[in-house]
Amino acid sequence: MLRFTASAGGARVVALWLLVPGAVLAPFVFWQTFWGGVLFCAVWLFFCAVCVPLHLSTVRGSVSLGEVRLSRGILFKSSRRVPTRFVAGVCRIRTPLLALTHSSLLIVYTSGCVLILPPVSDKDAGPLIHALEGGGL
Amino acid sequence: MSTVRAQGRFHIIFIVKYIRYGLILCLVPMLQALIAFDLPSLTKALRQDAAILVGMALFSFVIWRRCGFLLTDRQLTLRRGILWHRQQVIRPVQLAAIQLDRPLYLRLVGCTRVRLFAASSAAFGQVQFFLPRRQASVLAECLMPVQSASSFFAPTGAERLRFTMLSANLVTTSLLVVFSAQQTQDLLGKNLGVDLGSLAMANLGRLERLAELFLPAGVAWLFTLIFTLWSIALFSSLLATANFKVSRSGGVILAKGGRINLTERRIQAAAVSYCDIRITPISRLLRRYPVFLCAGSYTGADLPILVYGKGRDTLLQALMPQFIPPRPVAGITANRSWPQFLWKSGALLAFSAMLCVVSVWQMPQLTPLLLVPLALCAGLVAVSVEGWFTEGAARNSNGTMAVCYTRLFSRHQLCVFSPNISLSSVQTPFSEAVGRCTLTIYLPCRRRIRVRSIKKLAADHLRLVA
Repeated sequence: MLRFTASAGGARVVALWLLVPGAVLAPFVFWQTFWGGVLFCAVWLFFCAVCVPLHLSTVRGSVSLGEVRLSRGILFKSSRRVPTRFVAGVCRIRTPLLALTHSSLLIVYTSGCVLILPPVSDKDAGPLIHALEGGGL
Repeated sequence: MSTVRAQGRFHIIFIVKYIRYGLILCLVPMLQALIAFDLPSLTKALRQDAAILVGMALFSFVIWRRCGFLLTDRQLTLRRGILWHRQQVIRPVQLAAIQLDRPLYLRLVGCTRVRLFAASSAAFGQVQFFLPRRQASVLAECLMPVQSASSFFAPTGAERLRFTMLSANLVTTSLLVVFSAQQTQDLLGKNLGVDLGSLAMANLGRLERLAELFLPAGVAWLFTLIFTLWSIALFSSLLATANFKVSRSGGVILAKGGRINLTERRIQAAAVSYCDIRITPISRLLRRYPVFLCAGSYTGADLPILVYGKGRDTLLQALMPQFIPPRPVAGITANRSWPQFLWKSGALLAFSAMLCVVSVWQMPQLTPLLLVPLALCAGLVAVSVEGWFTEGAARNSNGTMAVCYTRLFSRHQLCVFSPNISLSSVQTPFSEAVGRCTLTIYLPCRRRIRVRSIKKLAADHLRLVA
């Protein structure tokens, strides 16, 4: 069985990415009201700095018996199960920031759904891709 | 070396789509003329419209000349685009279903609408194009050949009547009637449209006066409207199900029929994701249940493939040998969430009941009319309660999956054949406390089935690889 979790560095990068939509939306809120904009920025910052890393820290994944299992969530818990033999493709995303933190983001494609795995460390990413592409564990 | 079976351009009716876009563009100058509201502006707008239409006709003609298809015994190649050519290669193994439609307006010009449905979304979703009749049949025969198809479901007599009644869709027909009434008014002009409308209303008024003999005034109108729409739905269903035959030849299921609008469907049996036995209020009365097949991106939701009844498992097993008759899959119902099943229908029932109470107090003449939504909401609640007892998912002995869920007035009993499924479960704090979850089953081509409040342990132990 191959187990994996979200890497701490990768989680910080994802939080940084999520700051971008907030930065785009903020001027429009400030345009309406100054204090509304301040409140929006505070809520968005809290979401990115606290909620996202906390959420990603709950991710637990494994590849075993021909299926990928992924569970996550604090209040609303969810879990996914995808058979590896029907995986149509795996996309590995490495941006400069992810490379700095030695992490990769994996997107698993099947004909039924798309599964976005949490940012995993490069050490885990190689064997994970190998297992998802039908290789042995 | 592959042999070319057919090649050429699409049918000229292909350009109608682009001319339709031109007609929408024509509205822009007309809008300007309407704002200015004088004769010179109208003349100018008409000139601009004529230029747009001529331009669009030329553009669509050039597109038609540049687009085409090439069919060999191994693959179909579709060529589209003017400056940027796009070639789409479709192999028979990628296909789940082929549908050939010949509605009256296409039959008049010797054309067939071809729809190809993919077995998995990795290839393509759905492709539609128009071909001359002979070339369309060659294409279907080449991509999904049918050798000796012996018919095993051809409804006649009472069976035909049941099939027609089960195929009639009141909601779709109502929407179509409203849409076509608007289109007719637009085409005929306002005056003639209003005249026709008033003629129809006068006839409906006569029917309503007849209904008033045994129903209160408001309810009589509702009864008349539903009766009329139901009659139209039944009539269209009667035409669609005329000469309907289902047969199986090797790995291909062939369903064809229709009186005015001819339809032929070829479904790859290996690509069938699930068969859905739909238990609707009408089917409960008739004790016969319509069966719908879903294969890849093909849903076939407009017409059932056959009618299933108690003790008629062999008919469905002849169609799909892996089929297992529906069985109870709900498991233990203790700690199952009532609010999750009843919140929508219960809220609607409470609202309707409140309206009824207020009407009894303030406007007693409206009460009979408000009893109709109350009865409908009570029906919804009854189906939700049934869902509380019956919803669930379990593996069958032969590796297929039995799923049962309810939506609105219908209960769906599914036999999932496709091994290509993935599962997702979500727990709220309340459902986590009682060890339950909502299960979503993902099927090829992004189809999803949601089953509510099932045991988390059962969901975790549901075998994914059959």
